[in-house]
Amino acid sequence: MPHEQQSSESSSSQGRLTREAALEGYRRMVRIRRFEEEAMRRATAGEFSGMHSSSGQEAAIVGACLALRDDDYITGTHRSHGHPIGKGADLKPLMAELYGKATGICRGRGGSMHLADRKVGIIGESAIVGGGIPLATGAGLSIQVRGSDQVSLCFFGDGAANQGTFAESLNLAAIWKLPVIFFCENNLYAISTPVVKSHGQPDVAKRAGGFGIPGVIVDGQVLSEVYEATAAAVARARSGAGPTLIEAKTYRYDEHCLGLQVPIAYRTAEELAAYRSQKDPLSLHRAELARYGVNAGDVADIEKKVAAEVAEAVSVARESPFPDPAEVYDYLFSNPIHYPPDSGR
Amino acid sequence: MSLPQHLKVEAYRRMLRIRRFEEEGTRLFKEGQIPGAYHGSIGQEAAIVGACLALKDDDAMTGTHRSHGHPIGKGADLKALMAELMGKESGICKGRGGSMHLADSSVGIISESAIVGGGIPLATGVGLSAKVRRTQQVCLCFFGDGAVNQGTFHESLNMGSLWQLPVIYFCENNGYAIVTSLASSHGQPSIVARAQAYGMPGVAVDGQDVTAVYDATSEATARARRGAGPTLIEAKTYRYDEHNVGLLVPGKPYRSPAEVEEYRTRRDPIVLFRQYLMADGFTEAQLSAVESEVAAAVSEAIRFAHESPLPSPEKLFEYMYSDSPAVSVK
Repeated sequence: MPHEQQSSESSSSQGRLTREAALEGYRRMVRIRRFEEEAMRRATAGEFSGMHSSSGQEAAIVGACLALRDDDYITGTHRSHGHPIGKGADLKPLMAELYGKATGICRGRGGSMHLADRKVGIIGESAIVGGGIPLATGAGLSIQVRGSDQVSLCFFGDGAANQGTFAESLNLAAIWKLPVIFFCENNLYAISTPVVKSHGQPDVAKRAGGFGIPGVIVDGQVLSEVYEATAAAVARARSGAGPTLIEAKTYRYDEHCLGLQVPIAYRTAEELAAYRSQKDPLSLHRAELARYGVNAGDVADIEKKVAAEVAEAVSVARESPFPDPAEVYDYLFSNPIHYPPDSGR
Repeated sequence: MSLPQHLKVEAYRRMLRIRRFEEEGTRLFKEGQIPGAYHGSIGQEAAIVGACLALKDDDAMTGTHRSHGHPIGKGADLKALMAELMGKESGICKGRGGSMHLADSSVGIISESAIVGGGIPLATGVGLSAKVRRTQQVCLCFFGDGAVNQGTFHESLNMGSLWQLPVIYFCENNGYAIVTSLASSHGQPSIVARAQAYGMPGVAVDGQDVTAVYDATSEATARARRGAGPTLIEAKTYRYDEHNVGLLVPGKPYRSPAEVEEYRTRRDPIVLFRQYLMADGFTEAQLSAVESEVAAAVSEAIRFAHESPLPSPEKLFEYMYSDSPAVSVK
């Protein structure tokens, strides 16, 4: 597999996650996986248009989110269904948003790339590659100015690491010692462009040295490793010592987005099969759960509850109304403009 | 010390040409004979000339807002540069560019631009062009410590490294982006430490020592020509004047008079190199001859600029597009 990495430390590090947190981590990973699988089926059936699936990247997402408090901020990307779920969001408004329904988390105006659930601290999800990095940095500055002890965690991909916003944001955060965790989900491919064809050297975390901040590489398929690295970065940020760049080496199972036909063989079927069979984050974590004394019945119980939760989310989404066309101009501005001018609204 | 014997006097001549050109330009600017803004290179001559001397005549360069020295360092004629400062038709950009656009293409300068960090992607593009056309050219990209914090730096160095382009990224680190010190604007103080992020060599060099700069740039140029990719060079240098002539910086001083004095008296690149040349066996008469020759060349440039006409208003719309639109000036 292209990500050559050791997860041998994971066995000695599991003590850092409590049994309760390890179970919650598994529950959240299953919620992401089942949500994405069901959403892919529904979108394929034509119930709503496109999406970017997070399947395969659950440990990176949940390991990072588990290290945060409820009032900490996160920013997302185009591939961000998993981020609110990882932070603990209710599935119903997320699924309804995919369907463009009025009950959606952005009232059906945002769709798949804008599952910005503020209740769990998400200040923005945006399809602009690298666009969330300065936003998370600004949130870090806000925290510092207000004297709060929150932190801001910024998710982005390997492609975004080559945007200028990445360098500008990391430098500012480093100078001002902002409480930001720059969290790269390196899934090896920016759509179909491999890291080795787009990066001067393959480790995103090595760029941290240029800004004088720590850079940490973790196995993004191992929940406990991601959790530990993020918890250390969060502690560092809360202590006022400044930002950390974390690179989670992970993998996406589906194509870049639903329905995308990539005419070039940018990755092999063997590589994909190897990740699915040997590096699946859910399978790896189930094995760890056994060491916590969690039995098969507990795991099955989580799976069953999550399945019901996802089914209910789909049902709510389907039954919810679309936004009223008369309200199309609502939620654009805090002081709405009225258009057409004679609309009387 | 690998600066070849035949380049030693030339290095002295070019540094002196920059110094005298800038001194006279500053005086003329203060007298109101040069419009716009004036960013002098005094103090940074060794960084500029040491880098340029490592290039061949057909190698390319990009400049910045502080770029009078770059064409001079590459060997440009002074007359067309001085005329450009005065906005004359005989200027290197026909008087349309002014101080921040002394882009003398006859010495390989493809662009000078006041957009901080704007030259870095242009130089990277030149490197790509050289690679695609399979020429043996390299591109030397000058920029300052402030530009390093622009996204263009990051994006360009990554691509330069990825595609192993023949580019020398040359930072004239003069310690201050206008009034903002390096310490208050960079996450850590070493600019060359950023090179490892892109998998390219980073070399820090004393920018007041023309021979050290020449050595570092020669090595980077050789590396680029053999297809081994770009190098990031950081020349630690110093500007004597304010960011631009006449700029009044209010409030607490951003640098101490003692610091400026230290550079002027102990770290002056021209004084240091003159001492080296004397120790190396050059005579007072040889160096005085160079000094007289340079003074005469600068005087001649000023006379030429003064005597040249301003552009004709009817030609206002020329040189904007390769096919000029038919616009008449009333």
